Amino acid sequence: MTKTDADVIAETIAQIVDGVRSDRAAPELDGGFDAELWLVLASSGMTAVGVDDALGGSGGLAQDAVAVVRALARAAAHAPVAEHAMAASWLLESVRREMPSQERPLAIVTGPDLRFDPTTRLLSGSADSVPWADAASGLVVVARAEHGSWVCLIEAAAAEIVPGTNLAGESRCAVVLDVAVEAGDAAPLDAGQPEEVQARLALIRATQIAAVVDETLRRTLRYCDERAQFGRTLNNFQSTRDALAELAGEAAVVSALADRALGDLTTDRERFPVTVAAAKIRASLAARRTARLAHQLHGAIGFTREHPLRLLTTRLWAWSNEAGNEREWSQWLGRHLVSQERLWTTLVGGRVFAPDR
Amino acid sequence: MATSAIDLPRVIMTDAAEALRAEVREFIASELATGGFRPTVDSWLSGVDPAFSKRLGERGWLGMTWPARYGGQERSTLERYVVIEELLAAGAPVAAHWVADRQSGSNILAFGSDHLKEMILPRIAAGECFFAIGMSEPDAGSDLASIRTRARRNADGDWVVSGAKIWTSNAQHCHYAIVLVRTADKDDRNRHAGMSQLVVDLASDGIAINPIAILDGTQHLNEVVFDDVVVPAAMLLGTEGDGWRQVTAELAHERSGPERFMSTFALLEEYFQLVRATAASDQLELLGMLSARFLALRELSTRVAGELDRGALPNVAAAMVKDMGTAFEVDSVDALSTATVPERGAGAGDGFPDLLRLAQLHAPGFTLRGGTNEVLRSIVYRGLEGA
Repeated sequence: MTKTDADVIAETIAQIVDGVRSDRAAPELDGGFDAELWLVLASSGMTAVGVDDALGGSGGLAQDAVAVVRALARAAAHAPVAEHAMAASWLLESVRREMPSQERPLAIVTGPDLRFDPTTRLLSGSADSVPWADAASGLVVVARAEHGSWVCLIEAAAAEIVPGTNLAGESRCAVVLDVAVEAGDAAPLDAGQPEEVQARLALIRATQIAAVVDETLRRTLRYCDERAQFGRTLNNFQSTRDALAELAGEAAVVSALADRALGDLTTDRERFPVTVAAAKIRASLAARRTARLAHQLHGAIGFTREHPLRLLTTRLWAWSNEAGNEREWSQWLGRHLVSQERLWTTLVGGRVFAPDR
Repeated sequence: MATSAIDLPRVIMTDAAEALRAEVREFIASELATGGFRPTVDSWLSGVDPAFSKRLGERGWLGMTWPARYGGQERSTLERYVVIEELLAAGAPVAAHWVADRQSGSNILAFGSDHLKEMILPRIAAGECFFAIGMSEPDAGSDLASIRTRARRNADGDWVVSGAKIWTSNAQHCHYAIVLVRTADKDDRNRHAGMSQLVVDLASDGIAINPIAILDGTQHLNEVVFDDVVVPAAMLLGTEGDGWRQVTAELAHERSGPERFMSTFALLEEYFQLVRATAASDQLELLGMLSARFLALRELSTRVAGELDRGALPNVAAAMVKDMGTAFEVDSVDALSTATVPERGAGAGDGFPDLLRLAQLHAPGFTLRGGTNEVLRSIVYRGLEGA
């Protein structure tokens, strides 16, 4: 197989992460935003991949941005390129707003309580679990107005930010807003764009889960090939093989569907809402199953704080609930489906020839 | 190993494939309007309807990928995929020709002599010739290398077959079976050597087809007994002694298709109609979750079809599709069974209770036929080891 651009990007990211980490006295696997890593990524153009270069991005395709996101997820890096490039920058790009400096990330802020008044230019309300708001230079906020929704760009310093973390120790903040937005930093969104933001956030998490499920499989295969019990390595036991095969199936099916949702994002806008919902549902299911199987196969050592397995499994647990968990998306998808005439034609697309039923 | 165990490229349905999809939907709509068939579950095992098969043949929807000189349409594997998934989604009676179209024909095309190809393939493509699978035996189920059915040459150079095959789906409706036989004694150092495939006319003298009723009382399965059955030399498929390799090649076709996760789709479609009427939130959630799992399997399965189009044999991914796909079918039956069952005659979705009963009684077969899920997982694991 020949190397794709995505393969090259993945290798580059892995080298960058290793390079930054190996310069440190102790590897900082926990803690907050990795500013040093971010700067190296930004200076090599990796934080703005997939963003129009005329607006200050690095150009390239959504697939390239996803390659960066996947590689950073595998490495459990504390550098939020995903939200920055695939959601916040995309939203600014869609209203033709030039990108601010890439020196620190942009955070995306969404939530039902956020309001914007185009007359007074006042942005108000609060949102929970905002990824990496405490690391951001600017906040890209989606807020409801009397008519439709708006996107506002504000300085992070203008917001009240209460730090917090998810299960994996990644920054998830409460954000309280009461700020006047400068002219030129607010723009109305088209119908459907607020939903697309939610869909993109789900796609980001599904993509990250797919990468981490695969990384978990890879490490668990290696562990079962090294660890011996009863005089045999674990992978000699049928029950172990069975579990590893199940893990591999989860990895294959989740990456395929996340990749399909990414493809539909650019080539099949009509199906995208269905595929992205399905991708997040399936990814969340796989995340829980994978974490459970991997911990069982790793035994007690994987249950220790010292062992790196937790860097993967805590992300799987956290991400399966973020951006809508499998139950929330299943309800959404179920509702969406029953608004149509037939299940099959809605799932698969194409022309409908309705027989009399 | 590489960064990812299985990472098959995305497949884009061509305009030709989508045009074909529209044709199939139009055909199905007209069949339903004229009472051509009644949608059912597991229709690729139990929906035997030779007249329906012939109508598909007339439209060029059997043997689609084969060369025109053998009655094929020279279509891609993906185009064939579109046709069969549409038929399965509709719960159409495709069982009569299913095995012939899916694997026997392709097997003959790959390994058969010109004589066999000319004799058999155009008839399969016309929907006039049906095949059964002669692999499992009473003492060789999952362990196929243990088969004992023996073929020996007679004085004329023809084969004389003795032994028994079992779980042979729809043999009573089929014209031929491709029978895996020992043509040399078993060699314990090479268990896979000494096997061959014969194309056996099921009307031959010495064959007894004994029906076996499954849980729902229907007799789709059979035991087929061969008592010194003479099979002409020309009916050897491929190379003597190469049977194991040929069977293995057949299995990627047998295992990766949409029937491995769509046996219960007609039930899900009925459930959808039911939920449209009730709009109950727990039922909506179940509909969404099952639909997501379905889409994930379809995504992997179409990618396998794309690989087959490129001439690859993605056996590991095919085994995954069948393992996860059949588990999904069984989970669907359990989940839908615990969802609220409507009263009969409740209007929308009133086919649901009958289909659910049928699906429940067929469910144990889903994870057994075509290789048990235990066998499939060991194939997947060995593929990971080699990755």
